[in-house]
Amino acid sequence: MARSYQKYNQAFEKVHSSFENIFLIENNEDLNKIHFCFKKKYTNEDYARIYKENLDSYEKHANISIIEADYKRILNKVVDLSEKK
Amino acid sequence: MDSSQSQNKKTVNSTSHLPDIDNYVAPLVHENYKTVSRKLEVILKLFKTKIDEKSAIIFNKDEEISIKDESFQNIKRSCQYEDLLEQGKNYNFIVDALSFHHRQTDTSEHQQKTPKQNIDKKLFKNLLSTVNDKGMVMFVMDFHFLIQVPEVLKEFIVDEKESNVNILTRVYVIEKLPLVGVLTIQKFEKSHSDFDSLKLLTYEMYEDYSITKPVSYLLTLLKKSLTYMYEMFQYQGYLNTLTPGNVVKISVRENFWSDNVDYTITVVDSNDPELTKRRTCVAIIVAKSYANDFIYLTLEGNMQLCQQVQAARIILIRPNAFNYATVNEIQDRISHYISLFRNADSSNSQTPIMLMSDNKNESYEVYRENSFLVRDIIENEKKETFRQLIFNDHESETQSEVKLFLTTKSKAKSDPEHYTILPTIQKYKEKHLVSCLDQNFICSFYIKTVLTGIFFINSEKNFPDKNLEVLILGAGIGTINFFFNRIFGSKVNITAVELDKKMPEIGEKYFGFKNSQLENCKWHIGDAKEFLLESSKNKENEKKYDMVISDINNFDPSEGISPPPIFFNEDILNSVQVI
Repeated sequence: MARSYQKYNQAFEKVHSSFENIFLIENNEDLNKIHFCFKKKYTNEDYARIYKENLDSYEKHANISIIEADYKRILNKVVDLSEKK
Repeated sequence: MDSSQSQNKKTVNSTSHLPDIDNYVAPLVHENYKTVSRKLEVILKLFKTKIDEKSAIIFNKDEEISIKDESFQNIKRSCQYEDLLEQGKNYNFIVDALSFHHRQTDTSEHQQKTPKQNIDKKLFKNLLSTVNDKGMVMFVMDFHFLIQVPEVLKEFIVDEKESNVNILTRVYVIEKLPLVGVLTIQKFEKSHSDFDSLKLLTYEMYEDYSITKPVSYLLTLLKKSLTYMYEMFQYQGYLNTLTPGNVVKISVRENFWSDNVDYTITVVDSNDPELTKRRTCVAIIVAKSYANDFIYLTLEGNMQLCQQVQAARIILIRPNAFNYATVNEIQDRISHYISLFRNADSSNSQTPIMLMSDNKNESYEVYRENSFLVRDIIENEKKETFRQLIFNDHESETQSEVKLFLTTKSKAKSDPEHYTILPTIQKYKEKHLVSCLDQNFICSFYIKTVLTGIFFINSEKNFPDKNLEVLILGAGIGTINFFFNRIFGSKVNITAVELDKKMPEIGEKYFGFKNSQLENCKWHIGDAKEFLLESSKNKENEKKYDMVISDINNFDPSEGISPPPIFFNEDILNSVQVI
């Protein structure tokens, strides 16, 4: 959660330069009002594919029904982190 | 309705066509604040502990200051501030900026007509340069002065960038119409602060003398807040008198800098001359489920409503954000807006508040400690109960939430795997029911999103032969742990790090998270920074985790970011890379 853009940018730059795969969830007070994004290690299409593959793979061994309904909603919000800079 | 009335009908959705606030925020000197003494009395009331022999008052007119309070007797005072600046460093300055304006408006007829004055940048800069480390400058000012502050601060900060000065600002609005306020600026040298550069902290003080939570500001946010305040004053000025047939829609944000609209307020002035004559004002809180009803949504419906409640003006308030606020809480929060938007000549001294509530939610306290509260919220419409953890310092934010269901004690006890009995509120106990955790319902979208993060990791790993390894920093009461475990069962190993040992206990006792019982979840009570640094030194932990979740709360809102900035330091990030 960020209120200070300056602090956010500083943190963002540091995290961005340290990791190749980041799943960043941004929110402000209301935990139901969020948007989130990725560092661009893969293309968005790749991420969609990975997400689907994982979902299929985990589904056999896990009880994903409680989050499954949100899958498309979440995927639609994935953006490239570089777009946030 | 006759033709003259229909011509009057107008809906105002933004301030773009409203008059400038000059007409009513000016003149710059309010009756109550004409004398320096009166202004100082107000400051005394606000900052009693700050006024001492180290305070110096600067004003720009000759006037005997007569204040009975003893604390004023030893204060340095001068209308020629240069000599004070020379002695400067030891003082906290109180500046009657209004008196500086006053002199200018007195000297020019033209300026009297156009009362906007530029801030005295030289005075501003001189004072901030002179004042000592941790020293404070207080300006008594009006809105024209206030709204220029971000720009002037920006210039000042550019000048001072090399010395890395940090600034703390607070804005106190002490008189709303016309607006008189006190801006305090406190200076910090680098040596006394961990701040990287500029820091602005503002107490929003919109109502007289009542302080709300501190909110961290950057210049842009301060500017945004001031713009918002300006708009509110535009509305207030416009709505000061009744305009028959007018409807004004206003988006209200509790946090001035935020984009979240907390209330939509519609101010409706009746087009019935008889009602207009009566000048009565009534406020109506409209629950979400009624918000789209004809009577609230349409102009015609609004006019009908005026007839129904026999009011010249109705203020319709639709709360957007406080899903779980009780009616009393909503009333407390909106009373300020009612006083802001009622007609000044209202015939009733107090505005009655009517409730068009669906009585959707009831709130029951389950457990309270100094720093937090566990409560049950019953949504009457859906007959659903939610249990929430609220930190007392952040009452508008729900930290954790689960859904509960009710059953009989005997049934719950017969199947402990599926029924986790939780402390139950009296209302249900009386019905011989117990509250149980709904293990298949995740309340917040945030938690769901955190959990789905695992699906974005490239699955070159050997799942399911090898378990998923998840590290949670700032695990709190264990919401993420619990639902990770619900999803992946024995296929996930979780390491949960939490600073406060009470949190997992609360999670276990009041939320049913079984924190001490889950074999594949290890709790580490301690500082997450130390945990990361220690773990990264151990070779066994190299590339151990498939996913590291950072959900650390920052209890200091003035830092402007959560987790605290220290978690973005190089050594911490490097340690995360290692593990």
